[in-house]
Amino acid sequence: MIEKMNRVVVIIVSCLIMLFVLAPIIVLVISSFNLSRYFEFPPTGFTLEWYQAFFNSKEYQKALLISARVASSAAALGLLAGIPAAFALDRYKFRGNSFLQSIFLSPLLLPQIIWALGLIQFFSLVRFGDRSILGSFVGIVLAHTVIIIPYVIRMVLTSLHYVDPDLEYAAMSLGAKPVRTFLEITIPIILPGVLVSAVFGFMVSFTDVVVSSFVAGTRYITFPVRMYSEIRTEGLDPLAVTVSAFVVIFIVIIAMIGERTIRWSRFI
Amino acid sequence: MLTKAKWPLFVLLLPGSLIIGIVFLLPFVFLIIQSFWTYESSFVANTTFTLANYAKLFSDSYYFDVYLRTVKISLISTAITLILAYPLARFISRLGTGIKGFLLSLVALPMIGGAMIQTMGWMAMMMRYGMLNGILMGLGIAKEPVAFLGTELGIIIGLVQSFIPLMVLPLVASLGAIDISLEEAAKSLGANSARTFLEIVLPLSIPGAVSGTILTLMMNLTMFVTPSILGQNKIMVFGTIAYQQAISVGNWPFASAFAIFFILSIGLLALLARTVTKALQKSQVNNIKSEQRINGVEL
Repeated sequence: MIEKMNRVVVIIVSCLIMLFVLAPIIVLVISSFNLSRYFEFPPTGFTLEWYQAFFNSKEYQKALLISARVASSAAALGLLAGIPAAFALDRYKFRGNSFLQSIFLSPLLLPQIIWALGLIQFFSLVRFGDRSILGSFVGIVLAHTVIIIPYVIRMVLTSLHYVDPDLEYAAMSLGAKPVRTFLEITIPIILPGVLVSAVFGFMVSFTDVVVSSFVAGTRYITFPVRMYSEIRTEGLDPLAVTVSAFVVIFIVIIAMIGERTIRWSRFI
Repeated sequence: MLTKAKWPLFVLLLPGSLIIGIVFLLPFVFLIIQSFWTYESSFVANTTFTLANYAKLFSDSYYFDVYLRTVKISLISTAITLILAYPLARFISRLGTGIKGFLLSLVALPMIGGAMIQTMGWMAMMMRYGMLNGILMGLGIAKEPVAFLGTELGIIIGLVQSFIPLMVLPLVASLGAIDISLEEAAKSLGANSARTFLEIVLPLSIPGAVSGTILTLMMNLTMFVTPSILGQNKIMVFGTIAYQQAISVGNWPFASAFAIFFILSIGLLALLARTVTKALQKSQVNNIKSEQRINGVEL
């Protein structure tokens, strides 16, 4: 009896904490349909007005497009650099292996804002012709690649642990060259991890505001940076909330598909 | 694995090492160097060596107040985050694979959504007639709208929610690794739920709690979007000062000096935390040993 009551209390408390964690996301989605301009609660009425405004807003669409371009370039670069590195870290025993691994993962642990401070100084000194790469597309993509690489390495390492090296030896003993073995045995097995890290990396870059707002400059203003500067100067407005709600809905759908198809939570 | 030759290893590691080395590690070197440069005017500094940036940091009590406020808010937020994350992690860790994965991917949503989206949601909720006040006044807890925006309370609420996921994930990992038969054994030997929890579950979950706490504390100490938006520029912390100095004022040397002072003191905090936990673990082991000696059981 007491055990049963304990269980009920545990479930209720857990649900409340869960609700707290998801509260901002839920509220954004509700507010995007709220008739009131001032986010009154309970909502004063249902409207699609803000979504209409969003679909007519060239400015927000441009910001989302820039974010998508930055995020896809950075995710591609992150995969190109991260997958081989993870493979080397998992399959080769060499001195300094674990040290190198912690270096590769360090962008997850070291404070982004402190790195960003050094980065703007560094970028302002790196020049192509007469322009520094601070505020350029290349600059933002490189910075985001650094944020993505540790996720790729961690997730690919996790999935490499599932690969039985015997499978690779078997393929090679049957005459397959290492490259073919890698393409036909290893890649298919680690594909879920690679896919999750690509999607996760894309989204982390897409929603990054800390590093972006330092290195963005004025030409490539990503969607979260636009939100940040607008809220700071003009306060919260329903259009900005609606664009964010749109992104939230997109993220939730991706997360649920990812969980259902390849159980992506095991890589997070 | 496949070959003995060294060159494939080198080739595989090269692209990642180049990017992390040049774009991530090198800027920290620049940060250190630039903190000794001389500020002239906005976005202009010359390379003359100076200690003025550090002197300004220690002579102006404003920055020391900012530092103390940052540490205070971070410690409070981290403690509340741990208290709220623990029961949730314990609950999730004991569920079956399917529902566990579903809940974990829900918990991870704030991490993927990023600081901006979380902060916007909180701002909408914390408005004068927003959801939080709607609920508080509806339940009769508050007679008048409570001010959340522009207060430390608002910032702490926002920070706690943003970093619960960071705390839950390592906790679920270490709580999930506890063999359920250990708990059952303790219960069958007559220990009640509370004692089983205190003597079996809690000690075994310490590694997850420590790594989650360090990560969360680090994030809280260097957060800038949440304090900037929810604090409405009325409550300055390290992150908002760093942004203001680097982006608005353009005083990079001073921003660098502040950052270096800050990261060094965080490092000291982390070192202290590690020493304390090591000492705790040691005393725990000693306790177990002495109990075993009392009971006459050899190791």
